[in-house]
Amino acid sequence: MIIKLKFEQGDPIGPTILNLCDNIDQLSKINNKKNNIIDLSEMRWISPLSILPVASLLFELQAKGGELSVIKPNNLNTKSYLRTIKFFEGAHTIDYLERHRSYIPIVSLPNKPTEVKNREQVEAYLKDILLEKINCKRNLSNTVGYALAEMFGNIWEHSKTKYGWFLAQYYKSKNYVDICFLDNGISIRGSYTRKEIKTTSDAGAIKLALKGKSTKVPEIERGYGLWTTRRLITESLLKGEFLILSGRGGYYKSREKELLFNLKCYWKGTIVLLRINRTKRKIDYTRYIE
Amino acid sequence: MKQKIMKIKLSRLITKSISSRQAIQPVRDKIFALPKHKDFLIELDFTDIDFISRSFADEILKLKEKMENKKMCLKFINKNSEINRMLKIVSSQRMSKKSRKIDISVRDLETVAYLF
Repeated sequence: MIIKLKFEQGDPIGPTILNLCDNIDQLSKINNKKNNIIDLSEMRWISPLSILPVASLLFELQAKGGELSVIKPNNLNTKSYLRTIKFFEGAHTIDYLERHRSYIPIVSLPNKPTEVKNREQVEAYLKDILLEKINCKRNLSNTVGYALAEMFGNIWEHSKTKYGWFLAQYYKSKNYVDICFLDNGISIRGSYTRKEIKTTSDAGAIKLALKGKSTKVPEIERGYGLWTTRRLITESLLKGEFLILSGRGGYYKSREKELLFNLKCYWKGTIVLLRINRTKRKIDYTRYIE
Repeated sequence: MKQKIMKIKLSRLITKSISSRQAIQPVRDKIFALPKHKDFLIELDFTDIDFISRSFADEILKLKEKMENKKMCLKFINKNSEINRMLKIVSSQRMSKKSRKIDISVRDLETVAYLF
């Protein structure tokens, strides 16, 4: 079976999700163990949101015993970048990151209690490399740290996934960074369902999560992560964009727009994208988390 | 009798930037593995820690509460101002939760994809 994947060339997030949905649908059709060919020959542009979900799906297919071969992009830059980010298996340990300090690869971290220390070190390391790349270590360290901690925390605590995935890319000429997190777990709605909390749809579940409805009843200090990170990303000097895709639902927020939508595809788990603009000014992140 | 002091240096036990809720486990293990741990004053040392997440702050506050209920003492030392602030925020939010409103209707992606 040959699967030809499409990749949107450009910045806007909406069209990238449309393409991503097509790719998810295509990959979900793979039911053979053998002779699966993933054709990336026409790929000319890669963003974390477009490539990370594909990487995690291919990784999962391979882990289930599926034979995959990838036709690499014709475009040499794209081909080289895929190799650089370690597509599609990603890196799992601090040792790998320390050996390749000049770039951020795809990172997939196991969701096991025995891995907590490695995960903590990898997360701290990713933050450091990212801040070095954008030259904002002094002014954005804890702001970026907060967002990373909250988004990774949701994966480890709620998703029931085997792996948490991460990829970030700094676009120097555009002065912004895309940071993507994802899991192949039970989705936000699935997390509520497990706790017998009723939701109308995946989009409805996202709305409930943003409102702070915790699955960890009756603990009050829960359910802050999405809301506060959304505030920090979109209302602070980062002037960013915040996206959640979970199951068949999606949510997008920027300073100007807020959208809740249904997807035509199904993502088994949750994807988060943070697009943040580089700033030289210090942000007091605690202002946004109360 | 003078109380024995046990210092736990978080940066050595975990890392300098602590992000997950589960990172509390090695701290708990270390405290409760002490023979006669009830006789100790435990000092959680934040030297070299530049960041703790909200989740980790919640966990150490819960641990402190739990230990105080058992007549044990957990003290936080050498915190920087941001860690102090995080602990205060989390501590106050454990008392009451603010309600939030989101008034947006659901649409199909195809109809809004070109808006963002």
